[in-house]
Amino acid sequence: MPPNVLHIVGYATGATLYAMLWVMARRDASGDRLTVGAALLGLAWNAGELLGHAAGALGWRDAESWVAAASFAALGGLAAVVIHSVTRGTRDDAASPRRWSRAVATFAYLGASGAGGLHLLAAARNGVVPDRSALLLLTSVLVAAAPVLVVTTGPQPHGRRAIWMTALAVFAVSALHLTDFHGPGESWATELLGHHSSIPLAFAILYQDYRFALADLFLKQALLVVSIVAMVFGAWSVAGPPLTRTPGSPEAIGVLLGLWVLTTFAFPLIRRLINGFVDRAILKRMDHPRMVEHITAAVQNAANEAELLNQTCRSLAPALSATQVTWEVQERPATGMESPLIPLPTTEAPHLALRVGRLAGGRRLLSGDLATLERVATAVGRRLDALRLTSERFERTLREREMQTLATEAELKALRAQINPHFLFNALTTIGYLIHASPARAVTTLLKLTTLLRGVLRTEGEFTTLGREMELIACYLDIERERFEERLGVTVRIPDALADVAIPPLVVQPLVENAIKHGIAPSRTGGHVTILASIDDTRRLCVSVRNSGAPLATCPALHEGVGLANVERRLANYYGSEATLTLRTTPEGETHADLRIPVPTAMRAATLLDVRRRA
Amino acid sequence: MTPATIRVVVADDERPARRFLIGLLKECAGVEVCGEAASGEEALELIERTRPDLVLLDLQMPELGGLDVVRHVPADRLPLVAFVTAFDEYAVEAFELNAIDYVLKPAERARVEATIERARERLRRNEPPGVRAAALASATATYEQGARRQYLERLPVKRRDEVVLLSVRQVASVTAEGELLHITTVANERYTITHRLHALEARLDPRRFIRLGRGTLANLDFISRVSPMPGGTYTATLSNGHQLPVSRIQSRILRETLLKL
Repeated sequence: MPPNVLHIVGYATGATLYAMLWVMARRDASGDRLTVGAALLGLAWNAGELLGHAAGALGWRDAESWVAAASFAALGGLAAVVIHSVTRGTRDDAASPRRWSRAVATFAYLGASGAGGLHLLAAARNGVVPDRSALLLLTSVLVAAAPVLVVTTGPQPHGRRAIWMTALAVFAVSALHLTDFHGPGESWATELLGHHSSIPLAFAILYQDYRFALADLFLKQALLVVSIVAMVFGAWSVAGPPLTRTPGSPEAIGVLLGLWVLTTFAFPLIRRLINGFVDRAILKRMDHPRMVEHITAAVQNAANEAELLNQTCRSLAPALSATQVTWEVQERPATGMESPLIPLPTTEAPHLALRVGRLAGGRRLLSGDLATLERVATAVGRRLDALRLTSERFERTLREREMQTLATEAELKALRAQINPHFLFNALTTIGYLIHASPARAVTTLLKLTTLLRGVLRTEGEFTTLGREMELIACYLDIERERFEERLGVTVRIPDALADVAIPPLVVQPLVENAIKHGIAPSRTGGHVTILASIDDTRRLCVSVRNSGAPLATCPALHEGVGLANVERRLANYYGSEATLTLRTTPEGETHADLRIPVPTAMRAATLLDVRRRA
Repeated sequence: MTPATIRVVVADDERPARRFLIGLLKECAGVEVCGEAASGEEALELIERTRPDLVLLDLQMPELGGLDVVRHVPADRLPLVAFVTAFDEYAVEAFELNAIDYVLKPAERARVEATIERARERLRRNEPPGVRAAALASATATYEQGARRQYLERLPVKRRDEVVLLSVRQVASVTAEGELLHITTVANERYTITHRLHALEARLDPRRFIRLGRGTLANLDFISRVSPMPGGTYTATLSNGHQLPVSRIQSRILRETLLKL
């Protein structure tokens, strides 16, 4: 087999690999310059050699030597870049002396530049390219750099060191090989080793420095190209010689087509083998499809969001060789996959995301990892949606049931709280006394009690007006005045304009009752109850029930205002947070219960006009 | 033989109620109303001065209620006591348990007569006053325990120079710091009161307030999120934004109650 064919295939493969590396390194937004540089140099070397062969074939001697000088200079540069990337790998591990690393890299670059200069000089002088002394210089630079590298890369794993040492050794041997003029007598294996050492070098660079996201993809593709080329080449070396003896014969064409078809069939198998090899042996990754399957199954069994997320994080961390994977809540749904924050696609807020911690060896997420993460995120997101839907439904049922019990309870409590039995029996006692003492007043009081009871027992839920509520309160106060006599003083100041404001029934009466229960009854001298109403500056109706008498905070029973709790609950039902009830004692010892409720808009406008007109 | 006259004192702060009862007593045979009191203090003074056989005490009187009056009379001078109340289920329960007589308002004539008859019976038996005092003390204890069964609805807190009665529905969390309790509301207001946490906890509805650790209580209505922490504990986030750690023990309780469907 002609060595030229071997070279052309070898250089073409090398050029393809480096071109791929260059494209991928550039496509990766965060890809670093060193990888791009290595790709360009490798491409220059392989393409240059190809071009040199072409120029040689065409008989352009001048061009051939210039191209050869340039490509050999690129080869030297490639070696220097490899050394640089090796030292940089050390620096990441942060344990070795940084100064030495930098010195070695500088030394390698100087050596490579020197060698490149010598090559170009030789080309300019019409000397022999490649220049022998230049290649010797390069070899000695590599040999000199090796021990320093071995020392400074002490903290690196042995497997990793072995790989780049071998690559550099192969390279040194190759440089040495190129210094000799060699005829066609050399075996093709020697030729392969001698001229195509840049191919393993490419992998060494990557292995040193697989920071860029598509490194795994590149490795797989590159290995695939190399093995297909090797396979085709092997087949050719077996079947080639007999075929070339009878070119064009039907048998020869048949064998050729057969080999072609065989290669095509072998392709998927080879690809699968290489993918598995890269994932398991080189990147030492978990079996991603199996892992995704496992997580997806586990996700279906998770009972709640937290468990689901924690479990996912726990299974993902070792799979990605990350220190940890955590989850967090995002303000907005993030789009796209930007590492290391992977959004979990859920239809509704809160939007969650997985955060991938530092990866082992400072590596970045590879395309395979990202694909896996995306699939896991989709599965987890779907399950999150399902869980949320279930819990929402559950909560709604719970709420409805609660509302129901609350309503029943509220009805009962409303009755108990409003027709306070204590008040009722005391009122009847008073009437009993009045029957003897003053039958006429007894009848009046009895009628007031009847009016009050009718008002209280009116169906819940309907709105009443402030005016009607005040009528009931007047009845209530009259009865209490008969009971407490001179101990209870009353002032009511409600603007007429507010009499028609709609309010829920019995929200003011409990405040008055509270004032009497806690302010007047516990005081030997009694006190005064004042009821005021106004529209406040937030345009809400403000009813203020004030009383003197016993100060609230000293009264032992004050905290047990069942009636007020009921009022608050009903206000919340009607108005949500727009209605407020505050209770406070002023420094003067008065107790103020201030009720603020929104006024219906139409009513508000009319009332405001009315108030202004009267004012 | 005519029954011995029973000397009765009536104490009620409300004149109509007092007059009504006295009116009924006067209709009973062999009863002498030897005094009426409009307050607990007056009742004490009357008991001391007139040494009645029976005293009808209104439970709800300003400053000194019926139970306080009994507490202030020395055991050896304690007359027979019947309480008068309009409506108080706890009191009725306590009195029945300890065989203390009581009259409900509005008082019925028959019931008042029965009370007088029972008092007469007891006087005839010459019951030592110590026994009476013990029964009253026991009834008082039962009553106060019963009354305390109600949960707090409001907490008195200071804001500037006013006392605000904070509805417990507004309280989001209570955090203890020594003798002080820091209260945050759902609107994120803060108050500090002097009280003991376990004493406050006992008076709060346990269906509403849950203990998160040694020194914290939180309102269940406002726990918006419970996030698991390393080590099996939780952090509770309240709707006012506060985050409270949940202790190990409470985490277990939380997990077994709150976090289980």
